[in-house]
Parts: sequence; C-alpha cells; structure tokens
Amino acid sequence: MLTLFNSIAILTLIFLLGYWIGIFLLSYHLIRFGIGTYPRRIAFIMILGSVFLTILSIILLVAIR
Amino acid sequence: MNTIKETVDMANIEIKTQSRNLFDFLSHSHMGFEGQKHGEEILVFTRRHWFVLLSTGFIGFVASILPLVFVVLGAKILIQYNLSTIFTLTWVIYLMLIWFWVFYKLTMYALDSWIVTDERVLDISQIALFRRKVSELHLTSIEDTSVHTDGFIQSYLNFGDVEIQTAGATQRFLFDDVPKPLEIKDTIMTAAGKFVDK
Repeated sequence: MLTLFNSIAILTLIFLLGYWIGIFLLSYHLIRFGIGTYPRRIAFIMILGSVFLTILSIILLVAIR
Repeated sequence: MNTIKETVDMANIEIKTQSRNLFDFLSHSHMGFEGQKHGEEILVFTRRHWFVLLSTGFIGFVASILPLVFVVLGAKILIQYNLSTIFTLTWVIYLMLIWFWVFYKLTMYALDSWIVTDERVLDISQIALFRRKVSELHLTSIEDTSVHTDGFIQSYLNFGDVEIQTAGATQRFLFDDVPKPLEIKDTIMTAAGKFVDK
C-alpha cells in the first residue's frame, strides 16, 4: 500500500540511485582523465562525503518510520 | 653466483618496493598524460588559479546554510506538526544536491588544464561530462606569447592569461586565469627557442 512513508521512501531511494550514478560519473572522469594526484583526492573526498550524507539520509528515513 | 644472503636481501628489497600503503594512490602518481610521446618531457602543467573556485565555494556554503532561515522562522510549525525529521531529511537531500554541484564544478576545474612539453603545447578543455576538447600546438608554430593580468586581485595573487600567437590562421591559444603567467610565458618561449635550434 502506498502510504506517506512508502512514498517518501521510494522518492528518497530513487533520488539516491540517481545521485550515486552522478557520483560514479564524476569519479570516472576524475580517475580516467585526471592528471596527477589532485583529481583522485577530489574523487576520494567526494565519495567520503557522499557516503556520509547517504547514511545520514537513510538514518533519517528510518527515523520517520 | 649470488650467495644466499644476497638473494634474501634482494627479495627483501623487492618486497619493500612492492608493499604499498592503501592510500598511496592519493599521494603518488606518475605525471603523464594520454598521448604523451616516448621521451617527451613535461615542462609546465597547470590548471586555473584556485581563486576562480572561490565563488563556487561561497555559493555552496551560503546555499547549504540557507535552510537555517526556515528553521528559525518555522520552528514552531515544525515542532507542532512533528515535521522536524522530514525537514531534516529534505535538508540532507538538498545538501547532497549542493555537494554534487560543488564537485561537478571541481571536476571541471581539475580536468581543464594546459600542458607545455618540449615538443608542443596542449590545451585540454573539459566542457561538460563526456564532452572534452584537446587542442595541440607545435612549438614551431609559436610566434609570440603575451601575458595579461587585470586588476588588483590578479596582480596580488599573481595569476592571469597567457596568450600564444601562432603563425598563419590557426586558432589562438589562451591559458586563462593560470597562476604565475610570466613564468609560463618564459618557459614556452625558451622551449620554442630550444626546439627551433634542434
């Protein structure tokens, strides 16, 4: 049944999927075309921050329930 | 023939050179580029000056704390209708969008670069995702280079544009907002002179 929580959960998960596809594409560019260590560092920080924000959003989603 | 001790020592050296830290990829990298010819030496590798990123950082910071205004103004409503968790979740999703935008800008910044080698000049432009342009100019085509610094900030932080004039109707080469433009100009002219003398 499509409750309010289910709707929010589905929308959040769709967003997270799209977000991680975007993060993957950025990381791919940085690692594939980047010269030197600077692009790799950027990719590393970006992924770390994204993992943190994703975990936070999942925790909040569970808290809504 | 090697003694046992020598063999063990050689094996230890090999193990030491092979053992790497998990995060070595963040601090060690061979400085090369796609299409680099054998024996081609990189003289200058540069990106834009960090100052050009300042506006992105500022916008990202302001945008990320903007929802605090809603917290201050609508705290009563959020508590009354028990919406604080949904609001925080929305804020986190909003932060993720800002995070993505900031790193998209950083990616374009990191991949937009200029390389001067002892044979040619390369202008690598990352226009968007999967849109990349690499222009090349042979050192023999260089006629003259000029430097443009405009305003107090560029003069104080020592960054500006380096423009390469070429022979014929070939495209203009512009290094825009690069740090130490005078040094880059001198390197290009010296390299071009050396290349012609060869």
